[in-house]
Amino acid sequence: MSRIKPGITKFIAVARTLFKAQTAYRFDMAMAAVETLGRVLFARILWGVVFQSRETVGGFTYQRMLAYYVVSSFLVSLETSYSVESELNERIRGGSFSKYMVIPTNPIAHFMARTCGSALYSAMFTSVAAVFGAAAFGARLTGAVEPGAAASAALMIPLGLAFMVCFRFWIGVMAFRFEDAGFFIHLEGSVIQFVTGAMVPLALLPDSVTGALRFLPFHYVTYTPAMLLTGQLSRREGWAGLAILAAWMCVMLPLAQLTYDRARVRYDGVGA
Amino acid sequence: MTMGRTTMGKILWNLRFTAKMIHMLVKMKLTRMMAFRLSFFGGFFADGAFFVTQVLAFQAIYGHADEIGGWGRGQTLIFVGTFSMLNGINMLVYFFGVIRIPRLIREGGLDVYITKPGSALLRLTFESVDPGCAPLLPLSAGIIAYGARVAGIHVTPGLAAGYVALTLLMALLYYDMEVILRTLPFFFIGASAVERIEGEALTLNFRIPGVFYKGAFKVIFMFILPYGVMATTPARMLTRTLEPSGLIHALAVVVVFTWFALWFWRFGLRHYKSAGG
Repeated sequence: MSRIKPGITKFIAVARTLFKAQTAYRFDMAMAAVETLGRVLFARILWGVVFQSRETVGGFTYQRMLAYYVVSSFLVSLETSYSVESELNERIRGGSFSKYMVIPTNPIAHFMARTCGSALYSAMFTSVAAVFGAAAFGARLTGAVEPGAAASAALMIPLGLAFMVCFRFWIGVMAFRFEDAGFFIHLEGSVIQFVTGAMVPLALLPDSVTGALRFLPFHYVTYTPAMLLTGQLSRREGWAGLAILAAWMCVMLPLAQLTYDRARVRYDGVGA
Repeated sequence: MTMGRTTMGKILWNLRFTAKMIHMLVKMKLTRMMAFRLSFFGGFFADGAFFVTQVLAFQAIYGHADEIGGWGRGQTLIFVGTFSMLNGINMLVYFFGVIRIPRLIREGGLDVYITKPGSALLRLTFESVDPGCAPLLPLSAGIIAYGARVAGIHVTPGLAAGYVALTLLMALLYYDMEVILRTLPFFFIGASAVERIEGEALTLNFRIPGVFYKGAFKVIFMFILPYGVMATTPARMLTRTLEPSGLIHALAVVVVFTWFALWFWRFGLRHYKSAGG
């Protein structure tokens, strides 16, 4: 208990600092809001054309599809962990990673707190953009959502974001081993977008693919919470998903820590 | 006679020197790129993964719908493949040179280019070729060929030649748009908003054929920021659905935007305040 409390205090301090620091990047936040609107606009145009000649597609009505994109766009805007891997990669390559070796916090916890702070600040703008997008493009967000489903989604969203930080930290520290983790970063960007359901709802994929994706953590970062919050998945699926995501977190966190502990001895950047 | 021989000798020496210089520049670039071998094909993997997931996304949609707005699976695959091809040409030839323009203007680095012989824009356009992006071209050709097969199109040599010519013209339009938007920093210091909006417009148009736009979006993406014309027109030509009016519109857009890009660049250069400005 005596070790946990200072850890939480540091976590809150870093998150608060990053939250405040974001006020200096108002333009980036405005663009995050534009990106959220852009995703809803994409859905409005593409699915508007698709639904012109049919009532349902893969079990979705037009309204439910738009609602899915509004909620998933907001969740995608919270997922800012991509900056973790690119910063790690650049700092390790450039020799300025030493900073994270000397500060008295665990690097993974530090990056988690930072992402939490910036995501909270971003949420202030992107939530407004999502609501505006829903109103402007005629998406109805009101639907019957089970309290249990909403509760599981409320737990799944922060756990999913924490998982993504660990995952991207793990990718970023590959730079210790390979000099440059750009290869992995380039490769995973679009793939992660696809498997999290940010491009199209995963329910549209063939059953065999969806069945396989259910065992991966990415399924529960955007797609499942968005489906739960739009009343398209039951609470049972929500709790099952939360259990799978928690199991993955129990693997990814130690893996990222172990990879970091082993790889950091290769670092030879000094004085940067 | 002796004088003529001397002049010819000078020309040959200049040609040899220029060829050697280009060879050294390319060699130096490759050497720099090979220092980080895993990232050599970074552009290919990033954009290749983007377009492959794009194909998968459309495949998922077509699993539940026979056609989208009159476009079948094959036609849409050709559209995605064509945009991938345009992006591949862009990344291979001029992208990494043109994107440096705003920083060079801001930091005064353009001085070096202006004082060198020849066109500064030409030098910037071709000095940062990225051979690591070359595999994007066969990947895109593969998507297009697959789309043509799915659509059941019999590609004649004439049709293929027309498609290639139109795609190259659209690559020129892509280049024009990049130059126009990166010429703006001659007039505004903070032009990153324009680049971010360009990124958003491109992402949207990479996913939606231009014929799907209606109303204000049609005006924006077919006339003002003509990203909606780029892949849609060659894709419609290959599928034999392009009407003469569509072809004339596309050609007119290329002519107007190419003229404007060159004029705007020269106009911008006249307003360049240099490093000490």
